Amino acid sequence: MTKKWLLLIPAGIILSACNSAAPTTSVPQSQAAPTAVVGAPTPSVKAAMSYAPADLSDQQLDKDMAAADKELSSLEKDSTGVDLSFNDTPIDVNK
Amino acid sequence: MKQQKIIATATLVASLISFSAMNAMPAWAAPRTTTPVATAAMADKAVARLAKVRANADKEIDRRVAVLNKLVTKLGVLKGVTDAQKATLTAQVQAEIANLTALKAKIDADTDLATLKADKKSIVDSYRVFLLFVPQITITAHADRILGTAAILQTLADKLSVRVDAAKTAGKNVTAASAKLADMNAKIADAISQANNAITTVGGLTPSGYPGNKPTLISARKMLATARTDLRMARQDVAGVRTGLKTK
Repeated sequence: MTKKWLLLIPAGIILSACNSAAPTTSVPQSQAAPTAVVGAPTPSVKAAMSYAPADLSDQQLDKDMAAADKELSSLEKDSTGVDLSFNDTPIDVNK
Repeated sequence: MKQQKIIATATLVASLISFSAMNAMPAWAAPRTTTPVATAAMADKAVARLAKVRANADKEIDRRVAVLNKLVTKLGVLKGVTDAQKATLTAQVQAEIANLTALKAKIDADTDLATLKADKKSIVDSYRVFLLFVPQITITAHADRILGTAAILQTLADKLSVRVDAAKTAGKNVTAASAKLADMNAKIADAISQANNAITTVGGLTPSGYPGNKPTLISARKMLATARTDLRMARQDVAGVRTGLKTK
């Protein structure tokens, strides 16, 4: 009885190891990874694009300056609203 | 005979004076006779007056609620303000809308002119929509725009910094360009600091603190003016840096 158990226990361990190593289910064709779209950036390219160095050309700096000018001009107009917001509008209680 | 004439003349003059005095008597001194018709007319007049004052008060409240709703929308699109600051201000404005709506219901139920007038006066005295909330939110929104513009200029400064470093590596004299760039960075930093200070300064103001907190609003407005000047100077520095980069 004891010898029988001594044989069965290692056999069970080996069988269990074999089962965990082997794939138990196969991936159906429909669930397989989608094929890449031709021309679309791969994830690694996308990551590289987001960390791409800034465009430091004169043309780009001109564009950036124009954008800053537009914002500054808009800011000046908005400041009039700040001043106007201080205007008092009293109420005539008798009216 | 002559004496009789004098007495007659004196009597006539006295009668005339007395008659004239009676005519000049003020209305309150004259005997009153109030007819039921006159009483009803007076009551109608009082009701009409109440309705007119009430309608005007309702109009003033509606105007304020409309402005406050616009302020809530304005707060919703702010980007540079923290979520906590935005939530605090939005809650304040929404509480104000609820209070004004309750006041409107009270005004609509007022039956005597004195109470109605007191309630109408409280639209200004207790709620301070135009005197506190409008400048407070406008300052916060303007500071938020300043932070946005500062971010654009900071991106530009960072790009220019790379260009200056590259020129330096290439052996060019970048002293002037570097000085302008340093000034630009300092101006942007100050603009950001001023805008954030303005937001913090007006953040905790409440209607009950008015007019004592008016100087705080004015000081926040000055901070924004300083920030705008900083940004204009930073923009001028951009041209200076680029000119500096072109020199050999």
